[in-house]
Amino acid sequence: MSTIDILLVEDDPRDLELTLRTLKKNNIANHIFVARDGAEALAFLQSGSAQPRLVLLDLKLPKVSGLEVLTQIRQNPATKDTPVVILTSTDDQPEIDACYRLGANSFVRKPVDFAQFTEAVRQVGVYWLLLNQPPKAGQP
Amino acid sequence: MEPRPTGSRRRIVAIAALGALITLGTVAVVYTQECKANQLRVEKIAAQLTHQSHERIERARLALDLLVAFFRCSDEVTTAEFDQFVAHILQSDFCVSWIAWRPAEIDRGPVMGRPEHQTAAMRTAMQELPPLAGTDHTAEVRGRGPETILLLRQNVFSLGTENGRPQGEALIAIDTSAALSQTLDEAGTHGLQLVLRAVGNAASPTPIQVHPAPAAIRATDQTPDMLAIVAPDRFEFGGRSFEVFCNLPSGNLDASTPLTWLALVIGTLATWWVTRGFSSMQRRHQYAEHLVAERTQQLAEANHALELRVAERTAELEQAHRELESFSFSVSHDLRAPLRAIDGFAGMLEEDHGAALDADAQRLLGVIRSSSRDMSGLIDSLLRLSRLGRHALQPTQVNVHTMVTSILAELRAATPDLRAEVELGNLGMVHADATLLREVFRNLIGNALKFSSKTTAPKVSIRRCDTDDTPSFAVQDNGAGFDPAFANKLFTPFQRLHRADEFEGSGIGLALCQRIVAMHGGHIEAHGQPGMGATFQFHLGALARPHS
Repeated sequence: MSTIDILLVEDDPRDLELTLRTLKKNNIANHIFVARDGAEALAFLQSGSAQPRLVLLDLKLPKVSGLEVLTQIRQNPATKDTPVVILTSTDDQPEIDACYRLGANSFVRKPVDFAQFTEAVRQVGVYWLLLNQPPKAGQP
Repeated sequence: MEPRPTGSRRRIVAIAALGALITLGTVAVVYTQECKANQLRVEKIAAQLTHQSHERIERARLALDLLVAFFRCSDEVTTAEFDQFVAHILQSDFCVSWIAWRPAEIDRGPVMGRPEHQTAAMRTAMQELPPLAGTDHTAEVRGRGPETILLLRQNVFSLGTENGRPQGEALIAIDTSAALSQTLDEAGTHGLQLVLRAVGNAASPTPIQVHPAPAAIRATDQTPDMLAIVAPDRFEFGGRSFEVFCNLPSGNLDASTPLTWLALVIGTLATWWVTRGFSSMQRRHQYAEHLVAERTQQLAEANHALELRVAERTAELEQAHRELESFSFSVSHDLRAPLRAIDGFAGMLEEDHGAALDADAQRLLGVIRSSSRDMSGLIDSLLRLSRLGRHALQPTQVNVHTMVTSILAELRAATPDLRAEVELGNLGMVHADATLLREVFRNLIGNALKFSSKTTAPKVSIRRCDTDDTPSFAVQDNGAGFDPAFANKLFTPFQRLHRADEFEGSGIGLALCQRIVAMHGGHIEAHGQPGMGATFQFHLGALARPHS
């Protein structure tokens, strides 16, 4: 089973382009799998073809919502410890609370400002892929 | 009208029965009293009559005694002497109407000096008496003449000389006229009859007669079929005993009872009136109850309808609220995404191809990017304003001094080139929602710093200025100020008094402040002059008063 760096779940092509460009420009991730909706993300995870080191998850997604995807990730023994960072437009407090309750590791609101946006994505990538020490995969 | 319930009918019957009972009781008492009064009256009259009769008979007996004495004094009484004696008796107050003398032996001839029709009656009366033994004589009668008289007979043998030689027998008529007649008339109205009765020895000749015999007086030597004997009295006359009393042949002492009839009529009328009044009151009461029940029913229906409407409106409101929340989410998510793309792609263009663009193209890109950032700010402000409406007030004791110090530190960190001199008064404690109060101070202090930033010696003062019991605060600066004519517009959302290139801002901060202060039951006011600085003063109102 191979490993990828990031599973990026994002339906907006413009946000997707901005995020990918930032990650690549900063040499944070080489292997990125992009899912354009919740169903695609779940299908990828359930196929077991590769385990992501980090999931960047938007909440407002077609077909299956981000919260549902998060729930499935935490229920799957293979991915229950995988860091999941919510990257979305809203900063509604109940929404934030729900995400943490379901096991999200971090919640970041996408800034509108280009510079702030790229900085936010860069910091998230650096922290979770370079600084953070994950537990050993597959352990209970 | 509704049929009268059984209970009510029973009450009316009870009242009528009670009235009848009271009436009958009253009538009985009045009747008893009246009977007693009647009896007393009759007894009084009877006693008077008996007494008067007795008195007259007593006087007549005196006259008889005198007559007996007169005959004893003379061996042979002449007619002239007898006439003289009788004249003397009649002139005196002996109640004697006339006196007849029947000589024992001598026929004296007709009565002298009297009209024949008068003397005839006297003679008849005399002759009705049993004759003297072995004699047949006419009588000498002297007197005023009869009206109603009592004839009293002296024992024949009592009229004699001192040595016992008989001279005849005499008859004395008692005058019953004048006062006695009047009493007799009165007694007659009550059905009373005066009775004179000889007691014992019924076989001997009747010693007393009434002449002529009127219904009001009765003389007898037998026991009559009496109904009631009233005021009996006894007397002696000529050696015999007599009873005088009143008889009440009808026995009706209850004859006169007008008060009883009056009581009966008044009682019946009163009972009828009270029963009728109560019945009418009952009807009114029932009608009132009926009305109340009807109104209560109507009220209940109206209430029910109102409740339904309230529920309907509540549902509508809840729906509107859900739509507003959904709108807020859309604003937050859907409006920001395209803005991010605008700024992001402009940014990429600037980064990747900036070198290929001339200065004007770069300026144009800059305008695009700053506009998108402005709009982002506006959207955030709008969100904050709309979320405020859903914020439930959570008041706690807040140390305002600590809060303001912390806000100043934040603002200094965000704007390192801050030159303003900040003066802090003693701000103390206040009872308020800490998050919201922080928003107010952050906006007001931020504004004060912003609008004084272009002044040569910027100065901001934050102080407490309670009025009465109301916690109040003032934030003052010496900056750009404003035209007081537009003071009211300051608190309208998105309303700005300065151009965006002078002082940036969304125009939402003061609107937020006003809403928060209003949520605490207070108000905010602004004072200022162009170029002379501004003072914002807010009063927190009743909600923020310190607990005593």
